[in-house]
Amino acid sequence: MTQDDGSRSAPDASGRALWQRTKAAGRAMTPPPVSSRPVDDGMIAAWLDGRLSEKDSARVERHLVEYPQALQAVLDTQNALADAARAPVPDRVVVRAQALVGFQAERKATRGGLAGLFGTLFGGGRRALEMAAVAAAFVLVIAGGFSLGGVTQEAYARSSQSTEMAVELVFNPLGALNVPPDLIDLVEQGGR
Amino acid sequence: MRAIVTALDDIDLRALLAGDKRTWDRFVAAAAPLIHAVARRVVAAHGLSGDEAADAAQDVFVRLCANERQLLKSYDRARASLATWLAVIARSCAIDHLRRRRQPTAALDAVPEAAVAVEDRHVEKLSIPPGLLTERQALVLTLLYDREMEVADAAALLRVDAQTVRSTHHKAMLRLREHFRVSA
Repeated sequence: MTQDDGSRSAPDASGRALWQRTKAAGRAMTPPPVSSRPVDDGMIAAWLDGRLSEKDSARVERHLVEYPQALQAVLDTQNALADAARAPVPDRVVVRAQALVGFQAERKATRGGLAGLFGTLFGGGRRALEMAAVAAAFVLVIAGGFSLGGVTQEAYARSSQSTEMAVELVFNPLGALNVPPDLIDLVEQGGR
Repeated sequence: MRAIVTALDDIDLRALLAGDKRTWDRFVAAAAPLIHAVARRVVAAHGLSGDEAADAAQDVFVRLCANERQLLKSYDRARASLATWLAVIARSCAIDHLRRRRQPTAALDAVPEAAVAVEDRHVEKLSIPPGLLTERQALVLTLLYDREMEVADAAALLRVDAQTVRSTHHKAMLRLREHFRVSA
């Protein structure tokens, strides 16, 4: 019979062998039915803080034994809690996260009025307006090309001007179509 | 760590859930070190660079304030401290973030074994013969033998003293020796 001294209560090779044998016996069994109430993140957090009842603690501990990845998650969480105060956090993490709520607050504030209407129509802001302008210009160019189809010499004379306009349309669609700057600003405000 | 826990406990939850900008900024400043620490551990376990941790951390904050802060509203102050709850939630969110961004061409050999286990949703469930050990005894044996933790570290996790862990281990061993001697 074992004696209750320090050496017998410490992990050792014989204990490891017994534990392996226990797990092997478990694998040979028919799996027990799955518990109807799953262990969620809230329960894990409560267990880590020692705030669960004995019954719920036992349920979490059984879950941690049965699912190694759940135990790994708990160990990672505990280590991160210990690390957090020591490790530096990049400024951009804080800045970007803080901007989340401010962004939503401003968006709600500008929903009214003409800016809100343009924001609704052109939800992507300036980019959406540019695409709409390019699409409209494309339709005009095509329509113009068909109407000039019978005047070959005239079309050739205009080709260099058309090329310049096409380049302008690609790189600065709003400027090429002389869209007023005020309208551009209005759409940008509504799009935010 | 205590400073972070205190800072988070001091957050006005009602104002935070209402979307108050100043409270949100204070919450982010207090929570960012913890959430980033969690994200950094998760990405490191998956063999990814530290830059990914910032993106994973940002995703956690996005999830926290999405849908009128629905996830934050699920926090119950009576069950756990905000710091612990955030750490657990942040890990789950970071794992989800990496699963969504996982590159299919990454060689399996390049991913650490721990990451494979975490990524694998179909890990075999470990069963112990019912009634053989208490849940606490089985967990202690798991920590000491499967995880090869020191007694002191296991004690810290279980929020007990080291002698209690040794005593639990000893009682578990007595039960196992008796069981297998009878079975044999």
